[in-house]
Amino acid sequence: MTNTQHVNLLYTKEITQKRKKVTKLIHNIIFGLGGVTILLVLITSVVSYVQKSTHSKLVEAKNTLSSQLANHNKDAIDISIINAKAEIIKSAVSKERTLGDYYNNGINFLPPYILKDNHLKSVTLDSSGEGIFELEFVKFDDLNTFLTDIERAKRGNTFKAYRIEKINVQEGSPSASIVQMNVQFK
Amino acid sequence: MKQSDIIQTITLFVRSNSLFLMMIILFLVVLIFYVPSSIQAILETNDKINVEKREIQNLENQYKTINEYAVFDLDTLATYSAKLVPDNGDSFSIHTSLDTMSTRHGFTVISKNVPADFAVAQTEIPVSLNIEGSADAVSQVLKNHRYIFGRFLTITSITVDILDNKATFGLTFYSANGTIPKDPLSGLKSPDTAYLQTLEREFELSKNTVIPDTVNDEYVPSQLPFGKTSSGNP
Repeated sequence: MTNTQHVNLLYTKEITQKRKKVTKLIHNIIFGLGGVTILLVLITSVVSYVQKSTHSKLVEAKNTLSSQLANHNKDAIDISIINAKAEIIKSAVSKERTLGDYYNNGINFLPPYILKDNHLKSVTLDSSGEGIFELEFVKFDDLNTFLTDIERAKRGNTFKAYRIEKINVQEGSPSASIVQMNVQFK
Repeated sequence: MKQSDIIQTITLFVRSNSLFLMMIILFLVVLIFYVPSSIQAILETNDKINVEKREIQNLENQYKTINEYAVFDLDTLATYSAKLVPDNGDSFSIHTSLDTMSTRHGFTVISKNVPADFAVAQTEIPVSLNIEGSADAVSQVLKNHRYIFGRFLTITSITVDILDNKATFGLTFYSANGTIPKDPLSGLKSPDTAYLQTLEREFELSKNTVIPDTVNDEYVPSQLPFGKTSSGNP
């Protein structure tokens, strides 16, 4: 064997070993890649199947619920009517001042002889809580008695439900005197 | 090493490993195209599932809410509510309510100012009513007036002329112009039990208060629909 032949033999042997190594590497890559691919395909397929199944069940459940609700459509319409009107009614009730209480409290607060002797001419109440009690006195003595009573009552803090804003007296000698008492209900 | 040798080596290698190389390409194609598209599909389905779950939750809540109203006679309450607060101004029922008020409390209506036309979205209808009646009767109206005369009303002002037995009421009637949702399920909310019980109670009371409709639907005017006349006829 010549030197050249010997070198060629060694080269061929080296190439063959390298080829075997590369082939082995490729096999390993294929097994790895194949394993990962199959695993991923399996996982995604299973997850996809489960999800589609879940989705179809949910759609079925939704349709069932929708049809059940459709059977209650009349109830839903009734409820929407009731609630829409309720909003209006509750808002109005919350804004309405208790004029009935104001009226009765106002009448009750006046000394008994005012009603008994027909001194109370008129009562005006409005939603702001303001009230005007108009009284008429033919005799000055009666007028003075009333004004004295009012002053005493004011000092005694009798008017817990309201505040007397103003008392306007129009003395009408020899005709009747008019007392206009403005109050603010609390 | 010559270039031709390299090419020959590669060709030989490819030939001997062609099957494996094809498998690598196949796996790569699957990994690059199929797996991501599957993952994308899974994500999309997941979104759909979430949407469906939300819709089902919404429907379940609506169903549950409707069932909470089962203890109430919805048909009756809705009809009663619609009479208390009609969808439009409906001046006819305002007149009827004022007539009911005067009949029940023994008033004489001197005059009333009820609008005949209403703005498009008007929900509050101011009405003034002058009556002749006792102070006690006025007091009774002030105590209980909201539901019992047919239409729901509130009193905004009152002037009582004690000596002349006259009174002027400032009233507000209400209508539900455009406040009812088009989709009845959209505005569902849990029942306000206290309010609905009040409504039931007022409905029972109103049955004994409101003058029943006669067979003839023609409007029957009150004794003095346009105020006091100057004639001396009874």
